[in-house]
Amino acid sequence: MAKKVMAQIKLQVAAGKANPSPPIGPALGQHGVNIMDFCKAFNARTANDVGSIIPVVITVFQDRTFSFITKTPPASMLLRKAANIDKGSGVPNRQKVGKVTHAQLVDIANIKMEDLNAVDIDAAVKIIEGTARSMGIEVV
Amino acid sequence: MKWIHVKAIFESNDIPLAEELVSDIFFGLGLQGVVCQIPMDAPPEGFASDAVEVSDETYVSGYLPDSDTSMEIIEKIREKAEELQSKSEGLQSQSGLYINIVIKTEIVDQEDWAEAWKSFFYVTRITEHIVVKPEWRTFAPHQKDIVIEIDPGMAFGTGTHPTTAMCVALIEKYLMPADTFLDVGTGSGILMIAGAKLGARRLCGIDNDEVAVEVACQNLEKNAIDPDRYHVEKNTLDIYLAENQPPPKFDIVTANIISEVIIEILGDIKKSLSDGGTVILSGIIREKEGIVLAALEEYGFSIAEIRYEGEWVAIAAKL
Repeated sequence: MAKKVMAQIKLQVAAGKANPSPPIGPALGQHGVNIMDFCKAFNARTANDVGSIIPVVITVFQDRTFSFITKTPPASMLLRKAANIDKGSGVPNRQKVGKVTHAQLVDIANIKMEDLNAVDIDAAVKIIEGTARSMGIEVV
Repeated sequence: MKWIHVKAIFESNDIPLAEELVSDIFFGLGLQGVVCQIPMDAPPEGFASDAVEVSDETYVSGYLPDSDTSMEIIEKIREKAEELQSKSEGLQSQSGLYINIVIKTEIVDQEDWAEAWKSFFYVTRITEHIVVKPEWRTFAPHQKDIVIEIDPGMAFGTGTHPTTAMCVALIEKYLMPADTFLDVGTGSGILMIAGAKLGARRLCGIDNDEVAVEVACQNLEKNAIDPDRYHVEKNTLDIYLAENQPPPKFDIVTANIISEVIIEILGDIKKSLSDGGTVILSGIIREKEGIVLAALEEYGFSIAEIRYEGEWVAIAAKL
């Protein structure tokens, strides 16, 4: 009989740099998962994406074994990169914090396509554009 | 050590977008990871009857070390959350996004989670004669058994992971009594202990993580390995070789790291191997097997053996 699931956990962590500190430690440790085993497998699988944040969904089974799937980097992070915005920039609220071109939106939509609930690339671009607007990033 | 768990609990008509924007607040303040407690589809395997109850709150959370500056960062998270909320109000007519965020904090003790997984770590036989025993378990060995006692703490290497288990099996096969042994990225020290118990004359372990060096020394001591036989230091292989002239040569070199790092240090591994020596590489996922084999060939190694388990590959190669 297939193993049943104890818990599903979603994290967003830096690619190739997982370590037992929070949030990985507490998120997995409390479910009895061997934290270091997860870090090792995650780092091996995401080594090509160092510098990106990777969302990951971990499934923990009854015997405390686990499996995980990684997703594409968050659109917000890709937009920050495209608009060249430093993390923690203290730009006031209502100002536009950066600019991206339509072509950049299309690039991001292509990267995100597999994880977006979009019928086609135009719909995906619209979703990314919505994220950009909500972040105060202007589309030029 | 204590941590502050900062939860940004939110309500929104567009959960995926809200999740991105709220996560971005944490990343914008320099955090390296967040937990996303969002509604997800049930797994195809189905939940167990005693599965962990799913929280009815939707939130993104991050952890801050409990320090003098943490209150300041929490205040910034609050400010950014308020900004986002008011921005979304202004944008509602265009994007239709509604978001309402509440920030809550709680203090978490590292001990609560750092030790939790240990209750699921059991005595494991990893080869016919080699057994890994967590320090907190009891085990009655057979006559020919070699028992490695380990408390990995916060360092890599429990021995039950396929990458370590395959490495130990290859050490058992290729290490000759009185060989010299180098472990690059020694972690919990488990491979050094295996090497020592299988008869290596002299062992050296290096790791770029200070915690690992400490844990490895403790584990070597727990296994009653004579301190005169081994040396562990915080270093990288290139610097270790540069600092010791002429570079020391080893009969067996192990590296259970990840493919990219293995390829990067292969030239230095070659420098540290004696003629006819064996390198044992692990931590390689199947899709990276090809590039590691190509790098080995480029450096003039001949492949002695390749082992597979699940998605992992281990390779023994000779110079």
